[in-house]
This record gives sequence, structure tokens and C-alpha cells, in this order.
Amino acid sequence: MTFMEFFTGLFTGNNLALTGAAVAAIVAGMGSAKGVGMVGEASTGLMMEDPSKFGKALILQALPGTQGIYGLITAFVIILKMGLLGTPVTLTLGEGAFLLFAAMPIAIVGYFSAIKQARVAAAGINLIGKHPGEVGKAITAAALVETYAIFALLVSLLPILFFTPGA
Amino acid sequence: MAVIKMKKLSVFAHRRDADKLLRRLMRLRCVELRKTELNEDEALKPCGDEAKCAEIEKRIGRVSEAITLLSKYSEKKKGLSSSRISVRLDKFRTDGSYTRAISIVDEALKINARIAELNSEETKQKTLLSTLAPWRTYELPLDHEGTEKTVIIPITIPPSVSDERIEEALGDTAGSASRVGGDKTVSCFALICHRGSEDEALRKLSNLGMLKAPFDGLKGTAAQIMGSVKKRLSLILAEKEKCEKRLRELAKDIELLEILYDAEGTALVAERSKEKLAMTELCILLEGWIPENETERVQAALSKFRCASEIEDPGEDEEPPVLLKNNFFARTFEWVLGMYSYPKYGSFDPTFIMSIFYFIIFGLMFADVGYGFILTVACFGAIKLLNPKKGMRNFLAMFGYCGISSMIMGVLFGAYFGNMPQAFAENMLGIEGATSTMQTAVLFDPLVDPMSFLIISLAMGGVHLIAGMAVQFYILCKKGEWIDALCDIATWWLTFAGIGLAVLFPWGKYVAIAGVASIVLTGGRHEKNVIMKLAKGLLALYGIVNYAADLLSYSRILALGLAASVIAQVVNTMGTMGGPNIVGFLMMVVIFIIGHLLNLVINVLGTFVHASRLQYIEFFGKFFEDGGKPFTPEEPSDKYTTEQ
Repeated sequence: MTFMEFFTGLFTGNNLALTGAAVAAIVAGMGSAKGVGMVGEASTGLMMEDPSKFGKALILQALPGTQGIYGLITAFVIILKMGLLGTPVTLTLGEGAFLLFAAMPIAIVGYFSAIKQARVAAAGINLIGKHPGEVGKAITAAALVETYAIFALLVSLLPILFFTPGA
Repeated sequence: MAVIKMKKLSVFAHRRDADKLLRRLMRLRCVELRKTELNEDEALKPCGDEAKCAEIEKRIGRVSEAITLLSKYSEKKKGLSSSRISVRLDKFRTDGSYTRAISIVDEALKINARIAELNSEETKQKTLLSTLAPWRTYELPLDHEGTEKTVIIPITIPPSVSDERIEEALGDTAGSASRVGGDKTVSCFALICHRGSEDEALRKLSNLGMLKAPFDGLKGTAAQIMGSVKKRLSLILAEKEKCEKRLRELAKDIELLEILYDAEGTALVAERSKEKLAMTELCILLEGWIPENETERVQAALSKFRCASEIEDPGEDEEPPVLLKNNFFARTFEWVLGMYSYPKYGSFDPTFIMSIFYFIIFGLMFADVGYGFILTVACFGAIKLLNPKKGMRNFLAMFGYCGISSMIMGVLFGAYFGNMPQAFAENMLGIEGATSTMQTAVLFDPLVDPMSFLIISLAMGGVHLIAGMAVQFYILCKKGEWIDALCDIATWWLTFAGIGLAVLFPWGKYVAIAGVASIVLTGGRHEKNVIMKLAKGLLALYGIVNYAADLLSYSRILALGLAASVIAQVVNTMGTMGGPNIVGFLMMVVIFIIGHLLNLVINVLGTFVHASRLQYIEFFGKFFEDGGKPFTPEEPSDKYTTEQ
């Protein structure tokens, strides 16, 4: 096998599409893992003083976790479209690239919005440390950041859902 | 759906009636005391006794410690069906139950301290026993010091060291070590040497890891001591058993302690609320807020006391606390409002309108018959079984209602734990292509036709936003500012209607143009300068960006709906992969239970947060006046009991 054969063998439509699924899950998942970790550290600090606020802190900690879920959803829908869980379809190079590009919004926006959201949520942990009644405001402030991850998810998901291989 | 009007209550009463009066008002649960303003020169002094509060708090601490202790020994398991006890706290204090409960607390805590003592002694004795065990064959008393000429020292040496090496180490020292016992971990020797040469012998052996046996203060042979230790251990065990039996007996009256806890808790609330009162030599002055509809009850209660009272409207500069009144359904959503902020006193209470939109939006975001059913059954089941307090009850009931909404939407959009019926039919029943052809939706499947669902989401948003504007319209008209209402809100409606009509009819665009013109013309009406008028008018048109952004925000309904159903689909696909055999079936049950419960929890949280956000930012942003302080009347403690 020459190098060229190996190279063209690597660049199939299916591999490109799978790369899209992987990137969506990896990058958005990394952002969420980092974000949930950041808020987790802040909330553990709060637990040292007042363990009874665990429930409230948990909600805030879970918030930056959704981007990873959005990445997972995108990855899964791509995998479904590739027929990997049923009868596999062969994608052209262009179709594979289409799915790879479609995965980009949630991968990139998911990563950054998870971290930014985590910073707001961690600040919210400090807020409920001092004013436990204000948990609603802390959650709302963090949820505002999530809007852009949701938009990115829609932009990723809609082209993929409308995509039919071979059409 | 209203903010209830408040009245200001002032009462002058005898000081000796203070406690009784406070308790009576607490039982009404409709009086929020406020701190009486004290002027320096007046005869009024602050009331309240910090020392007494601290004393009650300490007692509560002891009672709660005793309850935790005894609940471990209680036969009556506080399971799911724990309902609160119905009592009369004043009777509890007078009929002797109070002193009995106090004595139970004292005894239980004393026994607990004794058990701790016994436990530590037990550990000590057991350690001694294990130290002595290798010595049990050593026949000399442990405190035996030897004869006139010789010394006997019990020593231990690691078992890896052989007798020869010991002899070698001792060399020409006048003494010898003879093996007297040992086990796997240690060998025991008696070192016998001439008086005077024992230090030398010990020094020589210390290189082999020799230790002097720790027998300070022990008398008699090892076997004798072990016998007495065992006897002591069995005594300790017997006493512990006795203590535990007594605790089990005491635990039968745990209900009494729970009542005591609330009785003391109530006393603490009363004592703390005294800090808000003012007093003279003989009188107390009490000030507080009562809801207008409760004035008669308060008056009736006060008429039993010799006191002077006055109920009046709040002054201009006063900010009364906020109590909301809503029907059985909307009431359960008040806490969602509370998480944001209560409306300002005297402003509009949006709970009812919000609750309807919340109900629908929650259902759209989380449209699934299966999940909705679990949510509803779990929430209403918890209310039925646990008999929770008011706050928790509303919290659960709200999610219970939202579950009903999920079920309704689930039927419309055909989700039963996602695509569980399809996945089951295809992989377990072997129906080819069921996942793509089997139709469970009354309307359509959002995964197949996401655009239609997006349109529904945005339409829902449009209705929600217009409802928010309508509330503002109503508020402005009620204030008499109907010009503002027309210019700032109705002009936008005209524009929106025009845009809508333009899609359907060609002449619709003229309506839209008229709307836009009216916005530009009226937007700068507060400016004097003509140029500024026009500039402000054009700036008002910029508001269209805000409305567009608000509307697009509702696309999250689609995103969250898809998230829930795609994850459910993942679970269903994985669960049915095993195919129609016993292993496959078992795998399916396990994966379904874990996967769907996880998905339920994640999505209830996400849906709750985003359904709330749509209310807080998009809906409340149009009209809400926040900053109300919730009405929190002084109430008896009710952790375990309810007052009769």
C-alpha cells in the first residue's frame, strides 16, 4: 500500500462524519467536565461551612453539565444518520464533511459556554453562601449563559436532522 | 391572583399576658411582627431576653440529640408513612407530659454517655487481652521481680529471630533468655540474669528488635489477668445490653420527645419574637402586619385579652410584607415566583398567568408520557405518603402538575419514554423497520419534523410575550397612564399584527407600516425638541431587536425537547440491543431503569431551569415590579407535629 492509498483510505465520508461525532462529544464534554469541576470545587468550599446547602449547590453544579449532554446528543444523531446502530450507509466525502461541519457549533460554543457558565455558577455558590434565599437569581444568571449553547445545539442539530444520506 | 392588602396592627397589653398573647397570635399564623421603633426619651424599653433564648436553644439541642439517638432504637420505623402528630402544645405543658419528656431526654443522654464510656473501656480491655494472649503459658506473675541475686524481665522478640541468635547475642553476659510463649507476631522470653548485669543483657538484645513487655501495674500471672479481663468484658457487654434495652424502652415514647421538640421550638419563636416588642413597667407594645381578610380572626383572638388594639392601613412610606392569594393550582407555582422575587406590595401578582404558561412550556420542553407519568405519580405519591410541610407540598405539587402537562404533550408528539414502543417492536418483536415507520404521535414526531416543532415553540413564545405586554398594558391603564399604554404597547401590537397579516395578505404590509410609523411618531413624545422627538422615535424602533431576541430565545423549547427524546432514544437503542432472548430481556430491564431514571432527573432539572428562565427574563421583563418582602408570620414550630 502506498502512502497515497493509505491517505485516501483514511479520508472517507464515514470517517469524516465520525470525526464530527467525536469532536462534538470530546470538545463539548471537555468543557462540561472542566465547568462542573470548577463549580464542584467552589461548592465543596461552601459545604465546609454549611453542608445543608448541598441541594442548592448541586443544581448550580449541574448547570455547566448540559453542554456535554448537547455534544453527546449531536454525536448520537450523527451516529444514527450513519446507520452505525442499524444498517450502515456509505457516505460520500462531501456528505461526511457536511456532518463534520455541522458538529462544529456545539463543539466550540459548548466548550466555551460551559466554562463561562461555570464561572457564573461558581460565583453563584458564593452568593448562596451568604444569601441562601437568592438561589433563584444565581441559577437564572448562570442559565443566561446557556442560551448560546442551546442556539449552537439547534444550529448543529437542525442540518443533521434534515440530512438524508444519498439525497 | 392578587397581592393581598395588609393592615397594621398595634396592641397594648399587660406584661404578664405577653407570653399567652404571643402564643395565641402565633397559633393564628397570620401575624408578622415588626420591630417596634424605640425613641430614646420615651419610657419604652426593648423587650426580649437573650439568656432565655440561649437556654431554650440549648434544650432544643439536647432534645434533638436524644431524638436522633432514640430513633436508632425505635421499633416503629420512620418509613414512608411518617405523618405528623396532631397535638395541643399548651395541654402538653400542663398535663405532666412535659416533665416526663424532659426526664426521658435526660435519661437517654445519660445512658448514651455511659455507653460511650463502656465502649472505650471495652476497647482498652480487648487491647490488653490481645497483648497478654502470647503470654498465657508464662507461669510467673508478671510483676515478679526475681530473687535476691537474679532479675527476671519479660521481653518480646520478633519471631524471625532464632534461639541460637539470642544466645549468641547474649554471649558471655551472666544471664539467659528462655522461651515462655508467643504467637505468629511475637515470641515471648523471660530474661533471667544476675542483678547488675540486666542492663548489659538488654542492650545486647536490643539489636535483635527486643522490647520490654508493657506490663506496668499488672499483678498476677498472665492467665489470671486474662481471666479477670474476660470477666470484666462480659460484665461490660451485659451492662451495654442493659443500657440498650432501656433505650429501646425509652424509644417507645419517642413521639413524646418529638412533641417536646416542637414545644420548645415554639417557645423559642415566642421568645425571639419578644425581641421585636417594646415594654414599659407594666405593658408591652406589639406591632405587626396582618392580611386584611384575617382582621376579624385577629380581633376575635385579641378580645379574649385585656388589651387595647388598633388596626389601620399602612402609611405612605411604609412597605408592608407581601402575601399572595391564588387558586389551588397557581398557588403551587408561587415558590417559582419567590425564587425570582416577590412582586412589590400593591403591584400586580402574575402567578396565575405565569402558572398557565409554565405548565404548557414545561410540557413542550419535556413532552413524554412515560416520564410525565413517573413525575406525577412520584410527586403526588410523596405528598400522600409523607404529609410534607407547606413549602415542600407546593414544590412537589407543582412538579406533579408539570408531569400531567408532559403526559398531554407526550401523547400529542408521540413520546413514550422516547421511542420505547418502536425500539421494542423492532428489536424485541422483530418487526422490521418499526423505528422508522411506526407512528405513535397524534400530531407529529419532533425528531422527524423539527421545523414544525420550532414553529410551535416560537408561536408559544409569541403568545407568552404578548401576554406579558398585555399585563403591562393593564397595569398602565389601571394607573391611568393609558396614553403610555397605547403608544408604547399597542403600537407594537399593530406592528406585529401587520407582520403577521403581511404573510397572509398583500395589504398586511400597510398595517405593519402604520405600526412602525406609530412607533416612530410616538416614541419621542416626552422630548420637547422636534429633532430629539424624531431621534427618540427611531430609537424606540430599535426595540424590535429586543423582541426578536426574546422570541428566538423560545427556540430552547425545541432544543430541550430534542435533548430529552434523543437521550431516551440512546437508552432504548442500547437497551434493546441484546435481542429477544432472556439475557437480552434482563439487560433491557436494567438499562431501561437506570438510563431512563437518569434522563428523567437531568431533564427535569434542565426543563425547570429553562422554563423558569423564560418566565423571569422574557415574561417578567415586560412588566414585573420586584422587591416585595414575603409575608412570614410568626408560627409554632411544626417539624413533627401539627397544632390541633
